[in-house]
Amino acid sequence: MQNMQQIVGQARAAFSSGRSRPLEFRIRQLKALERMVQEKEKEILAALKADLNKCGPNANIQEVLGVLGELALTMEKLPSWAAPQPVKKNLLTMRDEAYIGYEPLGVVLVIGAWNYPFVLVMQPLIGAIAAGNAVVVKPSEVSENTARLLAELLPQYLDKELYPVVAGGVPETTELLTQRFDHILYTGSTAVGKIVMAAAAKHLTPVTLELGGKSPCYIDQDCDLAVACRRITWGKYMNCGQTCIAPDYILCHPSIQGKVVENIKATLKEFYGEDVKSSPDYERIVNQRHFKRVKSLLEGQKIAHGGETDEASCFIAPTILTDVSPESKVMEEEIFGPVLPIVTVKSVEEAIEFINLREKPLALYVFSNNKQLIKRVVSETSSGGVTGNDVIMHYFLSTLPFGGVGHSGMGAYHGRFSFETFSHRRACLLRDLRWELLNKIRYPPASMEMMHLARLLLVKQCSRSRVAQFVSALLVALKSVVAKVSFGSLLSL
Amino acid sequence: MPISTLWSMSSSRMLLYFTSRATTLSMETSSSFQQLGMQQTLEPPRQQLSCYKCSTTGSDPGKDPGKAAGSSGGSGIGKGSVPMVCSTPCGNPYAGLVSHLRASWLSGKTRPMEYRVAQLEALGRFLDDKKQEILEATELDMGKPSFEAFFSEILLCKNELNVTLNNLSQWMKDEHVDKNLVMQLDSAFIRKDPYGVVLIIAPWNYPIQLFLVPLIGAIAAGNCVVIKPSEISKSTERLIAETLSCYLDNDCYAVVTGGVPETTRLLENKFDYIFFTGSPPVGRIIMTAAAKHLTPVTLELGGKNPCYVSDTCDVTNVARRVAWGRFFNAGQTCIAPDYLLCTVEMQEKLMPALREAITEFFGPNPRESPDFGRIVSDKQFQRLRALLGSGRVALGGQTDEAERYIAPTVLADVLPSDPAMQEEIFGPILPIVVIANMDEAIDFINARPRPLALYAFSCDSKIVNQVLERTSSGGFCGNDTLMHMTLPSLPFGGIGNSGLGKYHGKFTFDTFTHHRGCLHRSMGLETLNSPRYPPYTQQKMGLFTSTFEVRRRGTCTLL
Repeated sequence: MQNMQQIVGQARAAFSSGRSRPLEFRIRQLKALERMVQEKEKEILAALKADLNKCGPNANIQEVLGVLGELALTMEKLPSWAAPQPVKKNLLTMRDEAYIGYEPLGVVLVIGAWNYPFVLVMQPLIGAIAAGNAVVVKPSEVSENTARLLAELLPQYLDKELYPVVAGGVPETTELLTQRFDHILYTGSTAVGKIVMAAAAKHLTPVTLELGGKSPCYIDQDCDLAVACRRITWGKYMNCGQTCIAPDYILCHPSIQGKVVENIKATLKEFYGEDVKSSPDYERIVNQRHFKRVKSLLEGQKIAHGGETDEASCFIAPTILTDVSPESKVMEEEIFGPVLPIVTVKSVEEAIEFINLREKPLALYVFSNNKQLIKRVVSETSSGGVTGNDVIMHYFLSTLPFGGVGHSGMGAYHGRFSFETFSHRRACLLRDLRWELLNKIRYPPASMEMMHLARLLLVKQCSRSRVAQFVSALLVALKSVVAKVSFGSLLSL
Repeated sequence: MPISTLWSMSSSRMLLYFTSRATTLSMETSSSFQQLGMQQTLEPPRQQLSCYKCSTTGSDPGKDPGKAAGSSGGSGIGKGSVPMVCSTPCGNPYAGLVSHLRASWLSGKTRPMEYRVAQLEALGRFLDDKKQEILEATELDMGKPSFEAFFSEILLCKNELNVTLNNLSQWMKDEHVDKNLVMQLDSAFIRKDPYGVVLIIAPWNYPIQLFLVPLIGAIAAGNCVVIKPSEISKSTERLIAETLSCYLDNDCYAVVTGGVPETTRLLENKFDYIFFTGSPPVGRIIMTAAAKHLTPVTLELGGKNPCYVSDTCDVTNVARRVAWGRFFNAGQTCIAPDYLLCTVEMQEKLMPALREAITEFFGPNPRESPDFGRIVSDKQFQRLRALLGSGRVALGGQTDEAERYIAPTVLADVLPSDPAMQEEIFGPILPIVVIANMDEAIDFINARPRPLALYAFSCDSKIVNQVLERTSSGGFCGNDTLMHMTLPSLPFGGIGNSGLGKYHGKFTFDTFTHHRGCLHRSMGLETLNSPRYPPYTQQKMGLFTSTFEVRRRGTCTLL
């Protein structure tokens, strides 16, 4: 096992040297990262192929393009994101400088997941570097090829001391979590999320937890089913269903269930051809353990389509289950595989109730031609994110925060939100040592007059139209100070 | 702040405390608080939802308990009042209360802006109506001077309330965001969703402000709230428990009283957000409990706030501003300057100026001054008195156990190894640690846990900026103390050991709000989407890239 204390200690020493703070340094590191992705694209795609049987275009769209986009956005916007943000002042602080400074947190830990082993490490890393932190990177050991590649490539392109990569499984991660970090971003399961947060609590470390959950997908009767089902099929079976924001199950009226099945079947044929197993665009389950888990979910269910499995290659065909009971096992845990159960509900009210009775999901999808209905579902439920009339797509928009709520996680990232997640917003007020006259009102001994003045100076937000008020406040201040002085001299007599 | 609640007390002492408290309580059987306090520990807390009879005629909507839970439209969940699941058999005395609030939240009644505004306005009435009671209660608890209480407990809360009421409609609005090429026809926005049922645990040092300011944000964001005031500031706790329910909707907002055992039981319940103000050790306990339910937390903790005074500055003004910040509320302020760092020469110059400032503020005998507070409890008093042995007492140092009075005290030549430098002082004692120059001061600060606030004084703005840039802290105030927290436009919160999360003004609203990324797509133009569907080809790849990729400025040709 690598010596975790030493690795984190080295990163902390490198951070304390202050070299990760200048903007130029951060942008240089991001540029190096961009160069890495461009130069080593073949190696990255090969690793993804080996881990998850992701074909070239698939891996490119799902993992590489997103990273390049995030890098470009971050490098362009970083100077404006990192600039101090002046804030409104009140009358008492009108002459001062008040702003929010964006500062790095220190040493950050990023724990990646195996389902998108490249992008789920790289995207947080980009934000953490941009914010000026040292970053300890821990890729998932399940996707071993990508993990090995990252451990090999990152030190070649980035500052070795500031951004170490740690390899290993549960024992190594457990050891790593005993170290003190200044922020932890973890992507993975709800159960491990609790362990990570409990470990973080020992050091009072803030956490961002990107967890999963059963993301519901409601299809209204008033809806273009062909289009809806094509979009759902794309999102559900992408990466063999191993996507944290994949639609987990469908809620629809019993009367359209048959049509939904037909449309998805047709789309599957369109996407993967007659023989799914031989399609280059269809992935495999990551390992035997997950294969067995997903396969067991099929037991006792009405299989409307698919259901074929092959243990040797961890293949599970795109599968649709109909008339699924809410109490069945497949509705109890996140599926994380190419199995799509349909639960029928009689109305949108019932669908909303169904969603609200369960833990808050990471994503929520609603399909309808009726805008009001979509708005209603969004307003009356809670979830990490929402896409109406499509699936997954809110993830691709870096101007939207991506993250869960409740059991699907806490905190958010992507684009500017990543930068903010890994930054401390420091309240800064730089005052003038002079002008003591104005400050006298707050010092003891107290008088009622002072109290009223304090109210005037503090309650009112400063604005140009209030200059007159300010002048009158000054006059009152003068008056009360004069009163105080003369009163004081009387006393001393 | 150290030991802001009873958590760190040894269990035997704790028991003693509770027994003695119970006896004092049972002697005042006439008080309605009595009923409340006893009910909470002994009986399921559903009963405490009933509104206490009081003189105010608040016109709050949906005040009758039980009835309102399912009255407004909404999800259809939680119709009528929810039966008390798990009241006594499986033990948790607060399960019924929390599930009642959750049912109210699910009914959707806290979501409309009008509702939130009505509740916030009721809080404003609470502050106006109970101003005198608040001043009296804080005076009873820690001899808080009325100016200080007015300034810190009422004025700052009114400020927050007004900022929130003025901006709420703006804050609540969906925030529309930039889109990429394929999504030009869609609507992309950030929805400001309430979290659900949140818990606010307040400390004793500013017993009104530190529960009210988070409460304002939690209500504004549309949550249901359980408030747990500190049991140490007894009079204020009683005031809150007795009167708050007369102003707020009791189906959505509840006050729970009690000490460590009660808080422990309360924390077993699932909340959607926990906002805690107190000490780092208790912060760890809270966060560990929150981890069990994956509940996000804001922890407002304390720490030793350094105050660096450079050689070039107006000594009189420095002394005044430091003395004001240190001795405000008898030093029991989490952002008070905890210790001074300066050169030997500066220490010499500061001493007479500090003496003068203290005399000017509190007269020749601070004990008689109506403007100087007292220590909250005997335990705190004894802890503080033990710190007086550090360095040498240059000013003050007088104590009176009966009154829990400690004079404004300055300790000179304190060593980093002295007791006063090992813990947050949280009392009217100001140690001066002598350093050789600014670099040494910065090293001194950086060698310790990151503080909640950091202060630097100098006529030379370069020096102030250097200290700012080369250190890390929750907040920073140059050439003054405490003042950065009076601006609702600045985030207030710690970093590292001094806490996590931030609040005040819009930041409080954001703290209690889930920022939900929403994308509403159009069903048409399916051809535009075809590049992303399998089977994949090189051509599709190119199309996908051109529509999705974010390009560096200057290289974009398409838009």
